[in-house]
Amino acid sequence: MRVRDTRHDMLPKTTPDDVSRQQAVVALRRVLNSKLYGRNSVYYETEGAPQFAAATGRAPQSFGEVEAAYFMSPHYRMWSALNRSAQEMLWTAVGIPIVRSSEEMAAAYERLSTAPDRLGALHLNGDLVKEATIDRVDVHLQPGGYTLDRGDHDVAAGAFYETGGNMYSFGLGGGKGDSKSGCAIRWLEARAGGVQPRRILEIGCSAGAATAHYAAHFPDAEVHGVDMGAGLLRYAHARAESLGVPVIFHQMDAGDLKFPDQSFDLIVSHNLLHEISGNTRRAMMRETFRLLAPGGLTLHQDVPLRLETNSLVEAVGKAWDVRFNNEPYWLTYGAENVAADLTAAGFPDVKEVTLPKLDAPGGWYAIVAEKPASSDHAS
Amino acid sequence: MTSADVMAALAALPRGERPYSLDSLEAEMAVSMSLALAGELCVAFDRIRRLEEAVARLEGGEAEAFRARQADPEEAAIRQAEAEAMIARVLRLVLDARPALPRPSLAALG
Repeated sequence: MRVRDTRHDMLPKTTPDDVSRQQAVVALRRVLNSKLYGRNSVYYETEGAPQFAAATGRAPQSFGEVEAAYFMSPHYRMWSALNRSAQEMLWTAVGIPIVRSSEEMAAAYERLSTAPDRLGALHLNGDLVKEATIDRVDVHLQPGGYTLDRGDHDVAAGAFYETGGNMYSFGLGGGKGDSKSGCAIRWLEARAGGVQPRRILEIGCSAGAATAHYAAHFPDAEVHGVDMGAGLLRYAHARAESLGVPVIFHQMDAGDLKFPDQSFDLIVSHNLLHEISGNTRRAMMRETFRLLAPGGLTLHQDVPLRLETNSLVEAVGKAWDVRFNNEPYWLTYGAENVAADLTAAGFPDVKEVTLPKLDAPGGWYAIVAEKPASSDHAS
Repeated sequence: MTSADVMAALAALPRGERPYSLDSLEAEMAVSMSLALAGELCVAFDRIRRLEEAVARLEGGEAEAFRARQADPEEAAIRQAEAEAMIARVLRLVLDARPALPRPSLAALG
């Protein structure tokens, strides 16, 4: 199953002008990323840092000083303005067909989620206490944020996430064959002995693209996905039904998963680690250990942002997303030892691996571990 | 729902502050509007291309040949005049230069 740009009944209807507008934003982001982003470090050295030195008589030293020096470069300021504007344009380009199609998408959700022959299920919890930062912030500038929920048929958050995510990936140079779950499955199946999971959990499943992929790839497995956004989950549920794959979706907090001990033999997450606080992440790792059956595997994949390998100037350059793309935990994720969280949770042998992308340059970062077959650590 | 209604509904969704990068808020807004116009120009170019292909099909020819067709001298002169008029409209503020009248400000109050 293709994960990106997959056709299904929950997608908003687009006109040729909508598609042209989206392609224009993809083209704009590709130019910004491939032609301009790489110049920022040069502008820092040739414009920002000299201006900072002229003003203070010394070189920038702290994170804040380096950030201020970057913004003393007029070329960097312009790149920053263009990049922010491009990100807002992305949401406009996908948002126009979403708003225009809202009634049709609500009707499709109603039809798919009440079909007598539906394959999966949706369990929402209106009393869930959501992590405040994520609940209140439009992460990635997604309009209304991940928890946008304006009624019991609102699926906009999922539509924004899937269609915006596709454009974001294409703007980074990714192709339609790109897939984070595809990378993970390829890595898991290349292990000695392969993998034949019977019960799979994806934490932070968002619009359910990866969850549906696991369900399609492992048809004999029972697949569950959890997220805290009701709008994401409604969309994910109907999307899976439209694609004919059985998935059970639940509204839960990543750090407080309401499943019995040893419920799963494969637990995964994709691009979640950088979206949650350190406390939630550590709780999630403890839950991962508790929920895995002995011999079970876990794989948490995310962006290859490991700040300990960067200079301060490089790290500040990569921190642009915190302020300008609403990524509150970007630096927390990049600076902290996420592999150590799995070790602290009880996994004796944690590996950091690079998962080569399927249809895009570069690779993803992932931490993987196996729960010992004789483990008695379940709490 | 009209296209303007769609944009109004969409504009009501985002939350939070907007961080600016440039020294002037007005300049940042102008850059953002220019970028949006560039996007709309791409939409218009795509439409023109689709129309060219449709016309070429109706004529039983190729779109590339349709695009390569040169204007005759009389038509070229008309197009040139139209282009000059459009540039004049774009540069109206420069062509119609006048002495500046300062905006109300504390400095003007002395």
